[in-house]
Amino acid sequence: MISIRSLCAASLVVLLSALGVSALRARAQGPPPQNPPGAEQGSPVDNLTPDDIAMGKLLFAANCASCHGVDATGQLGPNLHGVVQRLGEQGVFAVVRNGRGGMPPVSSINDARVWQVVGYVKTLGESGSMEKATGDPEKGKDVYDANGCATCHTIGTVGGAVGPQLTAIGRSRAPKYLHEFLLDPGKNPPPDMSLPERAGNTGYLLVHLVTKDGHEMTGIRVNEDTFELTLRDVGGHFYTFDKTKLKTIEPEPGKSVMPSYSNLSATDLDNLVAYLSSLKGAQ
Amino acid sequence: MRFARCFVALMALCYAAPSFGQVSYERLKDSAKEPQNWLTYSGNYASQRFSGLKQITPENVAGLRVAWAYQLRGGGVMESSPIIVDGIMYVSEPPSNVTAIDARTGKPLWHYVPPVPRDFIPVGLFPTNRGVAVLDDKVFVATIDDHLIALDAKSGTVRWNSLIADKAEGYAITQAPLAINGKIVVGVGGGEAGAHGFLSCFDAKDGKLLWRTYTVPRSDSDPGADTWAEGSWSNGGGTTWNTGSYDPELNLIYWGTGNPAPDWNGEGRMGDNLFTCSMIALDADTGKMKWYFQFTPHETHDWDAAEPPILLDATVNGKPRKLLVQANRNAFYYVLDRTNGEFIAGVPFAKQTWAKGLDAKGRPIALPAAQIEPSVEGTLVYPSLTGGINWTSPCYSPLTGLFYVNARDGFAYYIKGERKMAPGNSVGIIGGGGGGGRMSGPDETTTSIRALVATTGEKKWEYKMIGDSWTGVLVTGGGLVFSADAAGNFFALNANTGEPLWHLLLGAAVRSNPVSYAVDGKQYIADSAGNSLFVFSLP
Repeated sequence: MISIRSLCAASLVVLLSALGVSALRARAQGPPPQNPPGAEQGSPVDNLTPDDIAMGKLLFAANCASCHGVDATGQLGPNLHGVVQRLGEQGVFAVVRNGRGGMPPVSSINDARVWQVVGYVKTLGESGSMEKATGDPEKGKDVYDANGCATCHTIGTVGGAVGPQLTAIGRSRAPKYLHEFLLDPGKNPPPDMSLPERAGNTGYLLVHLVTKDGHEMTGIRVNEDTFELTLRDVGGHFYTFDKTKLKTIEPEPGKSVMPSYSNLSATDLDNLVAYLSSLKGAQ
Repeated sequence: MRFARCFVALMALCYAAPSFGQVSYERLKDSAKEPQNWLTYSGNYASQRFSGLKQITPENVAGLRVAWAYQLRGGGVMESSPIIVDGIMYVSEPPSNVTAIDARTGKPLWHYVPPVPRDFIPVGLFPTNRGVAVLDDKVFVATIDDHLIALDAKSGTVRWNSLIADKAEGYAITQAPLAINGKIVVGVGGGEAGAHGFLSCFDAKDGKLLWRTYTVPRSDSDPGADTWAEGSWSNGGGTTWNTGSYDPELNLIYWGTGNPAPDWNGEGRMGDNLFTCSMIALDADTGKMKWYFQFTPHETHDWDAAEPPILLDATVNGKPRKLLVQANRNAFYYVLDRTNGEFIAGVPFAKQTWAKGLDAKGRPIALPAAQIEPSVEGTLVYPSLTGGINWTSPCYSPLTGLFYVNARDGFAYYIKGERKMAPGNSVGIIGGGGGGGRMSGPDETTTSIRALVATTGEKKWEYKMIGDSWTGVLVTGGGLVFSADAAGNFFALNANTGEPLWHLLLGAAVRSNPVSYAVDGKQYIADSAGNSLFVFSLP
């Protein structure tokens, strides 16, 4: 049985102010859409009535909203405004049926119901009820660089991997969400925290622990079950603890490794949100 | 002659081949006499999931290791509880396949794949199968598309195939059937699809239907119809989707029933909605209802009463009583008299925020509707849609007098939807009619193995796990309790104290009920994780 594996005294107290070196593998992106946009001949969405769309909204609330948000602007799952326009009706249908990335396949509602959901999501349009980012993306990039965000985050191939990569963050998160997240990172689930990670109790939860022989560590929880706990430090090192050797385990759900950026001016914040919103894919 | 000599010589070189034994009703009834076998879904007719085997003990369990593993041929997640007869194991695989395995070595002996239409998607449940039944020379499986199929135990050859229900009406079956004296009893699932619940009994010889008892009225003159406003029984519900229990002396079958339909919006079906979310006791020969006990009248949170009822005899207030106990999905533990359904005791076994308690007759004293009823914006209530317990089995040890349950403490925001309902085609979080819910996340949900004094529900000890475990519980004569956490750590606890004694990470969640058996004097423990069945023994 593992007992405090690879735990050296020098690493015990982990400084959470960003240190930046990382050996972490960038998170894999989901598979490409199975049906490219364009091939829409004879899509059942064309024949949906207003009643079907209303039913789609109900189905969305009951089946999808817990991850994608009641207004479909994204929570654990991505923002879905514009998803039908990007992936195509068949493409979205395929994602619902087959799952994608952290999303499980939905097999418990029949095809007609899935089309009603697709039809409803299509009506949300590109931006729907969300406010659009109002800032200047180019100036926002300067804010990003000046604040050292790349120490922890990767865009394209550049940056650290303490936090989630942001290459396509504008696709998966609405400006409103990004704005709130920058002000209070501990309050919201991290942008790339997906369902399997939730099921494995991972994500970016901070945990403070004290061993029975008096050592302390705070780190990002990678894995936890009834018997063991694995933390990662900001240097990307992993530590697995036998829980019977720990005195206390204190999750800190309201905290994040990422600091709040409430100190930014309103203009800088708007510009940063506009820059992040402009990130739509590989660069 | 030469061939015969060769054959005999060859025989001497092999292990003694496992033999396909006849499983008479007498053997099933007296299963405690042969603890080396696991002859029914829950180990015995009383559904105690107790193994009398004593080789593995708190003292030596640390030496438990994997003896063999079997991986599903078709993929998917294995939820089957194996049957073991004289060294042969019978397991089902998703959606409704059956495999016979040499229980010592893990080598498959035959494999049966029923003709289930590939494009069939059941509403409100996952296409899986939780086990088979055996009687005489046959193995019985109920398929996802509603057939009851009898197979030759030696070869897996079909002996008869009877249609139980029409899948187009929303019916689907995942449960193990129950074999009694010459009869096969089986229920149906599909309460989220507007299916009308019933229990059927077939002749084990030829598959002829002997009786069928509906759990929800089918006309205004049927019993219980006055508990459904405006003929709302027509939407159905009250399915019988998990395996029940049997008392051979009383000749009564006990089966739990599911939710009324549509579920999360009860406005159109005012009244208690009999006989949904109830325990029903039926005469095994006629199917006639002897008594019922409704746990959750006018249910609106998907708290089916489908959990296997455990039968036990014990002294209560100085009198010997024939009891039926159930840890119900509504988070209460119930003790009933199984001769007449009389309520004896009931207490919460998992966190609940919907009732002040139970009255003298066991009826819940519910909190005001505004606090607990599903709403358009979502109402936070413990337990969650998946309940204080779901389909996985608890167990009972006659040695400790304790009832062991994997209890879930979690909440859901219950959402009220439209009342529209059409058979086989419904709305909701997992397909169900009338709404749905958003459940607490894994960090907000915990599961614990709780040991309750079986006659009162008083908690003796608990073993708290991380995450949302969906594993049944087994207790053995050796004094061990087996179950698993959400990550797939299969573990053994001391049955008296709850002390953890051994665990092994199996690499995927364990979504099935553990069993124990013995072959050639060696005790085995079996359970599945992900798509694999693991069998453990001492070296």
